[in-house]
Amino acid sequence: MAQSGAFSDLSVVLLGGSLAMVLLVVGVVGFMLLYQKRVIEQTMLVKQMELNYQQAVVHHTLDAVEDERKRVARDLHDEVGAALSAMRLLVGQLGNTLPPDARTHELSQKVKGVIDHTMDSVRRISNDLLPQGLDELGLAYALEGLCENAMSLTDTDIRLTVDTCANLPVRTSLIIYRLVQELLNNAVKHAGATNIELTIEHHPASLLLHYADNGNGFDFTEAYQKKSLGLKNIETRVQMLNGTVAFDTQPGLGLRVTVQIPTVANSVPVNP
Amino acid sequence: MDIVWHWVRQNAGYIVLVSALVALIRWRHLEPKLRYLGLFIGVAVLGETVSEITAHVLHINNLYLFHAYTVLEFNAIAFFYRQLFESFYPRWLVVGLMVFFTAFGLVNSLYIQPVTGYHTYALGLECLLIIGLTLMLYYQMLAEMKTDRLHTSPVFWINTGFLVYFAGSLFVFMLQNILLAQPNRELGVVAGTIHRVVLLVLHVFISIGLWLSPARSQTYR
Repeated sequence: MAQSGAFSDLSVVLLGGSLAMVLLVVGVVGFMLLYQKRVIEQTMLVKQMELNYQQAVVHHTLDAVEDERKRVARDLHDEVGAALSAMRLLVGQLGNTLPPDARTHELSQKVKGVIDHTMDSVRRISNDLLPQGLDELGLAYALEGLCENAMSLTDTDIRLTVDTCANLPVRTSLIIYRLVQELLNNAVKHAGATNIELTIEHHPASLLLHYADNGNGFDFTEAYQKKSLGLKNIETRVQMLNGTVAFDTQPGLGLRVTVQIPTVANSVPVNP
Repeated sequence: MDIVWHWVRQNAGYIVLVSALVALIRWRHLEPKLRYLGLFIGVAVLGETVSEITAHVLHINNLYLFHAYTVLEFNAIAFFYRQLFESFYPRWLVVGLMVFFTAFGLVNSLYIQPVTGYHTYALGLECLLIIGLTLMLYYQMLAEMKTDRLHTSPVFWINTGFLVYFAGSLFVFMLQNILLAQPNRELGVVAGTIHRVVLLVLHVFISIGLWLSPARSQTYR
């Protein structure tokens, strides 16, 4: 009977001991896996923080640039524009006070013409710097103005279709506006496009921008490797909105750009 | 295979010389906290030497020395863990354990289990306490996350060595306890072999840990 009890104890110890050893190995391996998982989580967290920080820096830089543009545009409009208007008035008065003389009249008209031309330039530069009506009337209105302006300066035909873009944060609208401005500038100045189609669709969770022109096109790989400033600007702006951009182009075959920007849980903070 | 196990039983004790040698070679490069492990290695070398001399040269019963060795060994290991814990756990905790175990060892040897026999209570308690300390250190490592690559952390290797050794020893002591009541020579030999194997694992892991310690590092590097 005693022998049987001792044998039973021995079995329990051997079985329990073996089980404990297995558990020990499982425990150490489990600890290593858990530790590695936490290391990965921590690394991801640090990378996310770095990314957020970089995004914040870019946002602040962009805000500073926009603020400076606004200031310059207002100064141009309020001060230079007002000074030019006053100058035009004075030139008119000068023409009236001087004795009537063909030479004086001609000079007065020439000066008025130069002043008018300068005032137009100031107004154009001011409009380029500050998107007209973006804050007050929304993205669609501002884009219409941008396209009309481009069409008035060149022979380009631009077809713009914009779904309702209501409730877009100001910064998002501004970034999209600058992005379109960059595309139109490239099309008019470098690509020699005569036909441009621009569509903005507002889906429930995202905003889709389709751009297509019949310009010269370019070798995308080569342009990307040369770090083309225009391409980089477009990419940076899309990344700031956590969006994606796809370029489709070949020399002589125009350019097609598709931009997708998430509108739900958009991490871009609204300007205070 | 029997030859291998026989060789392990006869010579595994010399493994302490390997960890002692690694500690001496790497001493200048060891971070201060790891140097406290030198105390344990010193006690282990001393213990093995005295054990060899008394058992194989003088042929005398050396179990009373084993009683003292257990108290010394626990205090050396606990002191090492106290340095590693820093202020993560209350500072009095390990000191309290050292005082408690020393007192228990003395009382056990003087009044409970005779010094000429095995002090199984003290041995079992030592194993449990050190397993507890190793688990506490694992938790501390998980909470602090001071190293990115665990396999290059000296403390991870050393702590795992202690866990394997004392968990294995606990199993062996429990087995030997039963074999005292029901002697079985073969099983006794197996128990002895297991003890020597886990001793080998402990000192190999300590050697790896000490070898990995860089010249300048943080707590777990």
